[in-house]
Amino acid sequence: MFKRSIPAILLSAGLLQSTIAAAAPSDSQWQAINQQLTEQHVLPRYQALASSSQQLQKSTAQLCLQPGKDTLNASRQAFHSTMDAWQGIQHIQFGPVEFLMRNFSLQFWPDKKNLTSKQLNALLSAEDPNSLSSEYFRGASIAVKGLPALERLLFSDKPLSAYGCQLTEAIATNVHTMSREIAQEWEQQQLARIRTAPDGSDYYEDSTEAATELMKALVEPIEVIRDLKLLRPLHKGANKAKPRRSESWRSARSLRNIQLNLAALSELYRGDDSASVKALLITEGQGEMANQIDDAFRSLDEQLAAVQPPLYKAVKDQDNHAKLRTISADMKALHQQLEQAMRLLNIQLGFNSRDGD
Amino acid sequence: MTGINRRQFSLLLAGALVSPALLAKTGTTKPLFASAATDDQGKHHLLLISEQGDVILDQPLPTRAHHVEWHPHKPWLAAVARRPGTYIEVMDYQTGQRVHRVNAPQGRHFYGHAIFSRDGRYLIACENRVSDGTGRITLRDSQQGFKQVADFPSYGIGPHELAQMPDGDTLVVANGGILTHPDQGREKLNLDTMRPSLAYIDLHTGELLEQVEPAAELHQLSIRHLDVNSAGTVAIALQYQGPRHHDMPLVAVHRRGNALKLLRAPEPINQAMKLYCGSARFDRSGRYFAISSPRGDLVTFWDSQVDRFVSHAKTRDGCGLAATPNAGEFLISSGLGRLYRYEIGTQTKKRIALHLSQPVAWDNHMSTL
Repeated sequence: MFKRSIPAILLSAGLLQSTIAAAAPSDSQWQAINQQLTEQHVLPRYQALASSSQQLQKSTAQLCLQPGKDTLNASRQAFHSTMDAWQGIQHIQFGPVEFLMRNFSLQFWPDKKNLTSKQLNALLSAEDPNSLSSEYFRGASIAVKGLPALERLLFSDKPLSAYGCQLTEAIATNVHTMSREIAQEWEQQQLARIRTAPDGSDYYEDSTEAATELMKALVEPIEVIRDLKLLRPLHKGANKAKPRRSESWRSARSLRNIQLNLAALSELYRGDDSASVKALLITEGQGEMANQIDDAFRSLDEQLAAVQPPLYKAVKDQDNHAKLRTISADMKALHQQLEQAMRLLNIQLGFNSRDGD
Repeated sequence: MTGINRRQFSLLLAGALVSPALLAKTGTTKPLFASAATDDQGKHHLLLISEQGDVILDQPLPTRAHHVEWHPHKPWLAAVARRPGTYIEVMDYQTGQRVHRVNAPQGRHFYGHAIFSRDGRYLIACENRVSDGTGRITLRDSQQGFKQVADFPSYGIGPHELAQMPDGDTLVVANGGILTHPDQGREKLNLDTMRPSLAYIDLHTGELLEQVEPAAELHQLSIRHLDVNSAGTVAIALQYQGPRHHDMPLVAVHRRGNALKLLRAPEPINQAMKLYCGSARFDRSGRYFAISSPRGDLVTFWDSQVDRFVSHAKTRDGCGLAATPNAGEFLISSGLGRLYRYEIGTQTKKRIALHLSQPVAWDNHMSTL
């Protein structure tokens, strides 16, 4: 037993020295980052979602009043803007978006059992006017409450029926309501919780705890994007790829979604010059790692731009499939780098919550 | 994180597993809780912490452990390897010496939970018989060098936590229902056909006395963690293995001869539990029980007299639960290395300061004497 404990002693002593060389970031350093990121990154992005979905609601209302090519195109454009906004804030999975399952309601995906199609068809064939009310949507299946249901209606080859259009408008209204509420709750509640974190409360005991939620939003989505948005459609090779597993394939924007996700994470990482995770790593003497992470985001952006869209075709094409595999491997490496960065910054992303029994 | 004072540092250099200074005054230094933990270097420990928040015992462990069991009258702690681990480390925390390391026999592994029989003689563990994937309950005799003296079925797959009923003759076992195989790590192999159950087993004969399961449409509600009070009410923490957007009851109680009673927290708390509960513990009075939901960052509290939700406390990555000597009071430990005291009467949660030589993540379960 004594022999076995010797390396542990050395390790502990080494650890102590490295602690002296660069102390873990202080609570006030995290507080500055928390405020910068929530005020300049999170809130504006939720506000963008609220305003683009408002436009979507208006466009679909117009579409129902004047069905036609122009109004349909305007609604599709508004859908794209709303989806752009959602993809740019999807990484935040704490706070108001979690309340009442809004995250699932805004985008129920992946839909492995094809629930969206089943539930939408049931609504479309019943043509029940009661199913168009906001009352109904509060209790409705999450499969018909959000963006994937809207995409099916707006990007279908078949023209929308009058009822189908009203249903589209009702879903758009619901998406806008949820988005507006999330933005309002961030403004009115969540920002205050972040600001008062240093005083400690039932919600956040300190700034490090609040920072942990933001750091989870930086690190964890990379694995999720890779698993769900890339590896599932890539499947076992170009000839075995599963194109319809791509996110938003009907609106042909799967690659764009991934680009927007990574751009958002990159911004979350860089913050601004005064306060950011990157700056903190540099302060901690990890400048090399800080730049490597930055470079990895940039390289992924370039690699994604070099893939021939749409993704549902690219996964079937040998050349593009190979490019996407490289992207997937690079995302895995970036995820590992970020996890290591979190260890250096003394952020525990979760233990029991991530790997329980 | 936590500052290292001179005394702790000298202990660190000495590689001390037991603090002599603290040992000298074990009379005055009372243990507060024991738990498995993983440090920031990824190393695993069994830690015993005093009421003052100091480390009394720090035993390195070969792999991650799960439950720590307190011997009813000897100064022993048993740390059980997490599935699919194969050791149970029994330590004397007064001498710092290992009493015994139990190794699972060939073709077996532990599931992370074991208990001492109430008389203290037997170590009772849940095991997997890998060849056919069935759950087994084993008894080892501490008076015969922990020789295995009994081996009977758990009457299900994946037995996880177990407890001794107040009659002393009966075991209650949570058969999680999930099939795993050590060759495939922790991968779940039978989610479509899983059948969790609660089994009551005669401790002396291994005979099945009673078994209850959730209704067929709820067969993906894994029964994994439980506790029992002196009235024989079993409190159960559930884990749902179905789609993430489903909304399920995640807590249950059971009394012999009755059906399993599923309980829900009021919305939106039930949804916030994120379909996953990690630990169940009664308070000292046996009236209240706590259920942790580490994925939802909260702990809920329930009244077993009326089978109702009482309150909840936000606790980031909180999982370990234990009763304190006071009725209506619990300790909560977290993966962020924190420890809290929660009082149901006033619904207040207070952080307890700990003096550790390095940051640790407290593992799923904690124990008090």
